[in-house]
Amino acid sequence: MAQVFNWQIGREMDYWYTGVRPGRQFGAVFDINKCIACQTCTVACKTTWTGGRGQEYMFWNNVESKPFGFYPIMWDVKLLEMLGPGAWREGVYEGRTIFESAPAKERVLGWKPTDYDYAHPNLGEDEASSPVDGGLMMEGKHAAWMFYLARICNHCTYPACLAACPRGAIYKRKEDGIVLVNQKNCRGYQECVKACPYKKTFYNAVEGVSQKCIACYPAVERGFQPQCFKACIGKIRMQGWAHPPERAEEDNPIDYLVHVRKLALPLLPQLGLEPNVYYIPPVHASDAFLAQMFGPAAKQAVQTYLEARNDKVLAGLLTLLGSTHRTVDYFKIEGDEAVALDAERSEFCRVPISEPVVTRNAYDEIAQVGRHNIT
Amino acid sequence: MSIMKKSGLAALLLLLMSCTKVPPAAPNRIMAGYLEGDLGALSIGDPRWDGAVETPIPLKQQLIALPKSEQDGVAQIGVRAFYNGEWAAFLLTWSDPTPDHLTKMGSFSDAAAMEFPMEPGDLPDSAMGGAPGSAKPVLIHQWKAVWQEAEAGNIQGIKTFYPNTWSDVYLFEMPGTPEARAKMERTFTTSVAAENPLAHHGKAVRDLEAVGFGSVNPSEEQLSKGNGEWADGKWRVLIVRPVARLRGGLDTTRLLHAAFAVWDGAKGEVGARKMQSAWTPLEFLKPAAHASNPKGGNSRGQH
Ligand code: SF4
Ligand code: SF4
Ligand code: SF4
Repeated sequence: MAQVFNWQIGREMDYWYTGVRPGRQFGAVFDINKCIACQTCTVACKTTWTGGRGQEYMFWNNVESKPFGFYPIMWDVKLLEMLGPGAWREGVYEGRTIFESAPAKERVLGWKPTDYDYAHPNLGEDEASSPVDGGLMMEGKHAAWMFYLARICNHCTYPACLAACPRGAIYKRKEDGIVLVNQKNCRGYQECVKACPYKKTFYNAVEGVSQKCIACYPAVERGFQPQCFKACIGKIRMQGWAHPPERAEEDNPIDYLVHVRKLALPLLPQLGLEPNVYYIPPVHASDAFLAQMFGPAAKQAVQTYLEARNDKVLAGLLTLLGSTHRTVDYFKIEGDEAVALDAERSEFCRVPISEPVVTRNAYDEIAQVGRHNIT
Repeated sequence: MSIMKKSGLAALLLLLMSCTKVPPAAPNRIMAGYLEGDLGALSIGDPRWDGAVETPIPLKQQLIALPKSEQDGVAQIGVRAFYNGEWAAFLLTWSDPTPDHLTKMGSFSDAAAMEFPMEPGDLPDSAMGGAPGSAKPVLIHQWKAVWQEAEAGNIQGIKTFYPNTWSDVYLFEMPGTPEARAKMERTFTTSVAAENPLAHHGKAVRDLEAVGFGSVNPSEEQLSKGNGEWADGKWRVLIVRPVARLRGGLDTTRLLHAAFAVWDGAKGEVGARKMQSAWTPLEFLKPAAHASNPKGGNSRGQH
């Protein structure tokens, strides 16, 4: 095993290969607070990429209801139980990653799903979302809260899928850090399926090869955001380029949200993969749950988010999520508008930071009709 | 028996053997009998296999490269062989309570392979020729139950696993010219579009080459053939290959070596997770010798 530095856990760790960061890294921010679980993203990916035989059960993009929704079933719970608890001290994870806790006969700590595990794409959907008295629908493990977690492949800096493939059939592109399964070289051993803790590689039983999210690279190469980003009804997503902290650029939207404001956090950073999809955590969930899911900075991130409306730069940048189909390389705030810039820092999109608010009477005197709040 | 006579212990054993009924000693090498005719058309059920000596070959878990199996799979296979100037035929037999020919998430196919060194001289490591860097090339003939099904036209699909499933129309089944639909289907079958030679299409037995762990790739010459039959808890798999090849031909005038591997799909064996043998001597019995001893000449293996 080589030693690599993983900034998300604040220390060096074991990895199967020597770490070589790509020239630039595909990165994304998802604002969980805005997701409505409409699954438009799921369908956008399905109709674009996974309409073939053997792909019927595949959702390269899926949206699950936390805490009781999973795809595949119990994907995170199972692994966290295998991994055991690990403490964080001043931003450093003191537990073991899935590479460091690999069993003697394995490259990575993982578990192998069966078809049954994929049989219910969002078991526990909308659990805990019905109306409740006094804010609680049930007594027990925790108070009634839930949120939607949209997931794609994280195009990890240290991918477990890549480390586990004994054939070297998985590779991480130098030019953008996108992780792909070479469809010519894969022999369908399913080692990547077992190893990916996020369960974002899938075995195609008809073809005998594994397949995964390709970050819509044909679009990304041309400066456009992926399909599931463009289609997102809730405008929760933005695709750009992620850097490690020492190379962070203040006017890069991903770096700004991740490093400067520490608002967007990696999913399960303790696993050690340095995932590159970052989440703005939900404001209404349990602190302990969020800390387990997004690391020790989750509570502070929630606080930052709650105050974002008073912060023109942050509020401005968040209005750019879902406002353009193009990859946002850079951004700036001008007056009351947020501006998206391309790699040459040329403007291609401009949005108002706050929309004018109009209050209307509940009864429309002219039309002689009552108004609903959407009329 | 000559080896046994060399020690007192062997003499004692002989004494014991004279008192009890002991089956003849198993040969420690594969002895390929000479058989006239088109061995390319030989079948598993051909009665002439009954006259061939079966050599038992122990298998051990692959324990060099990661990942490794969690448990032992098939511990032994029996190998019988025939050859002539044109073909070499091998019948591999092993016990397996379940025939596994479907692969889906978390399920794997039964499979077997035999391997030959491709260069004269010292034998390479029997595990795929050794560690990358110091490995020597090996030629492999691999049979997979799932490939056999595909060759027979039984390409597994969602209906294979879940007969009552209903799914929307596939994009490539939309109205259009046959050419347009075929093109679309190819687009949505990425392993085919990428010309993956080892995906689930094609032949039951494939010729592969490797130079070290994780390097197995199809050979330019795909000349082998064969099939498997499962009955009464046993797989019998026939692998027939031409004696001559551009790379990896067999010099039947010499003592050669072959190694074997078996994957038990039900035990999750796939890729490096397998049971494998050491190099096993492979002797080609001369036509005359074979003619005088049609059973393959048990004693010839014991010197
Ligand atoms: S999320 Fe999984 S499939 Fe994607 S790069 Fe990371 S380990 Fe690989
Ligand atoms: S990025 Fe593209 S390939 Fe990946 S989940 Fe989204 S739509 Fe699918
Ligand atoms: S399209 Fe957007 S809002 Fe709808 S489920 Fe997907 S991520 Fe959530």
